[in-house]
Amino acid sequence: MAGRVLYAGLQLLDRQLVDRTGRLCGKVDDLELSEPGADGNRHIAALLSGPGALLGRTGHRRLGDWLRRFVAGAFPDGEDPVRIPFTRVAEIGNHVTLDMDSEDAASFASERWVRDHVIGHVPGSRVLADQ
Amino acid sequence: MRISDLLDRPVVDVAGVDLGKVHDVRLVQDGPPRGSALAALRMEALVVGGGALSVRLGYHRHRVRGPAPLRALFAALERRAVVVPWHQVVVTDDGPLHLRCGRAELPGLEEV
Amino acid sequence: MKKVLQVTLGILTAIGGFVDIGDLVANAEAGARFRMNLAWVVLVGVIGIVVYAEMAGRVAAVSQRPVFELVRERLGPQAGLVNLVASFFINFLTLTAEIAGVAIAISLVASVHYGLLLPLCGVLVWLVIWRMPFEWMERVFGLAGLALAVFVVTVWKVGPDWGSLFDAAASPHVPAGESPFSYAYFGIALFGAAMTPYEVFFFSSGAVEERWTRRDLALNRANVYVGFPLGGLLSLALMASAHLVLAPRGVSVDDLAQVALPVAVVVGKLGLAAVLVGIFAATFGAALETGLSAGYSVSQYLGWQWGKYVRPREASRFHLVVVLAILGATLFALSGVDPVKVTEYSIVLSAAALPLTYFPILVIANDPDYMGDRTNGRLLNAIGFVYLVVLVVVSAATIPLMIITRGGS
Repeated sequence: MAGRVLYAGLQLLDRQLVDRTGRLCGKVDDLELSEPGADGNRHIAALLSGPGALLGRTGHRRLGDWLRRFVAGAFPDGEDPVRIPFTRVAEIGNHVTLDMDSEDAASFASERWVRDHVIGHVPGSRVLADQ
Repeated sequence: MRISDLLDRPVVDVAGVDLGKVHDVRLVQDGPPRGSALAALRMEALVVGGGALSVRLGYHRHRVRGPAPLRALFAALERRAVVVPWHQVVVTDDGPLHLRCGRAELPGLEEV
Repeated sequence: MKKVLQVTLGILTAIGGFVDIGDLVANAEAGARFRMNLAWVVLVGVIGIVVYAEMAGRVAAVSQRPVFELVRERLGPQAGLVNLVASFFINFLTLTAEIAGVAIAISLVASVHYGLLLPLCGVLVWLVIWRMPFEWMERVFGLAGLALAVFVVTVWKVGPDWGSLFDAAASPHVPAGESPFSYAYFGIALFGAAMTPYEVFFFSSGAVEERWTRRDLALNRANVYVGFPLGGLLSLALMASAHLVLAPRGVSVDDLAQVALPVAVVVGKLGLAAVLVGIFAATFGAALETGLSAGYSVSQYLGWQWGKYVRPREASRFHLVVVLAILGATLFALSGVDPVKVTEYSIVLSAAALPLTYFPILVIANDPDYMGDRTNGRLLNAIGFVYLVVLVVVSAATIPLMIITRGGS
């Protein structure tokens, strides 16, 4: 059975990630490939997005891995701050839609930090400006 | 392994001929769905050669229509790329990727 | 009336692009030194930005994606980063100059040294971005900026020989006493002012802020056809005022006060009041545009949630970038830099960003994957391609010309 053909560079990499509520939650910085299966095939195991992933993509792998570990340590939610399993992808169009909330995306940690420690304290941060 | 480990790697066929660099990866969505709405994306082939920019712009595969001079230039460059089936690639950690076959056996970038 | 107000995004974008503090001085100086011989450049620039802003707005309306994203997506993260760095510094330098411009505009009325007003202006700009709804921002500053139309009134009142005015504009040459290099440099500065990258980034982000969809394509065109020509008209009126009033008196233009001189001379106190309102609104509008664009560019490169269309806490990193940019720009302005000199340096960075900005727009506007059936027609593509070539030439010529002419002196 013929399946849809996708080109990773043209249609996946550097595309915007959008969560199920429509919020923007990062770019597809890199793709993780699975180990070869019994049939020798490899699949896309996960999308990589967030601290360190882009550095890894542009050739600074060690620096990227360091940053990834640093963020994982600084925001100990326990999750890998960069890896989005492919099973969470709902749709691939001109952007990639995830079937999860950006709150749960590990790369969201820095957004949460800035929100809780900086912007959240400024009066008016909870209110949409046209009120 | 990540896709960035493959992109921009030089590719050399079984006779030692340099085919260019990997500029894109062709995936086919025919894997078994694993708890998600989408079928898994299987790695099928590498797109090698044809110039990094022209492959990224997608004038040929994406059927970008114009403007005419850009289309003529980039589609022509993109079409020079070859498609290397994944099973012909010997995966190494470093250096160029070697193929098990020769250049002549490789299809060009056909119309999508 | 409501319908008329819907073109304010285009107007604000144009005001912030065409008649911000750097361009106010550049247009006036061009008129004083080169008479109307650079008028054709403004026209060429207006056509260029109309063509590309319409594409950018269409891409945003149809695909909901702002055009800054396209640079990384189509040209790769490295090219995207070059564009980001250049754009961010253009935004930062321009923001510095605009905050200073706001302070200068107020100081012309309040007789306080403008340096003392800088912190206040920085805070005001941030407050407006934080609390004022996007549409209100457009209306207040876009429409108030149109007070600069008093320059049109000035030209009218001088009552020049219209025939010879148009003749002078229609047969440009390098005037005696000026070198062709200076002429070319000013030409590039005026062209760059019309097609400054942050105009299309702001316009397309604004289109997403305004939640435009495929049904708003006519609105997109209205914004573009009204806003940018109006900006061009103001540019030309500034140039003509300087040509008619300053040049015969041998007055050169170095700062904002001299820009306003023709109006004061010809129209009087009421005119001066209008100019000050216009300059205040235009520089404030440009500060908003560049402050927001600083946030838009970083967020759209990295994929963060951005925009005023969500609650601030839902775009925290975006707002943090904006705050830091305004803070940094205010501090930089406080260090005493000459705002006009600062905008000159941003022209150099613009040169780097021009082709990187406009090339992906032209490609995406032709991509059926993005645009569906709304891809460019052939005529539009032809014009767009010609302009792309012009942009590359301009881009390549900017730095050598800047060196040869020592910044147009």
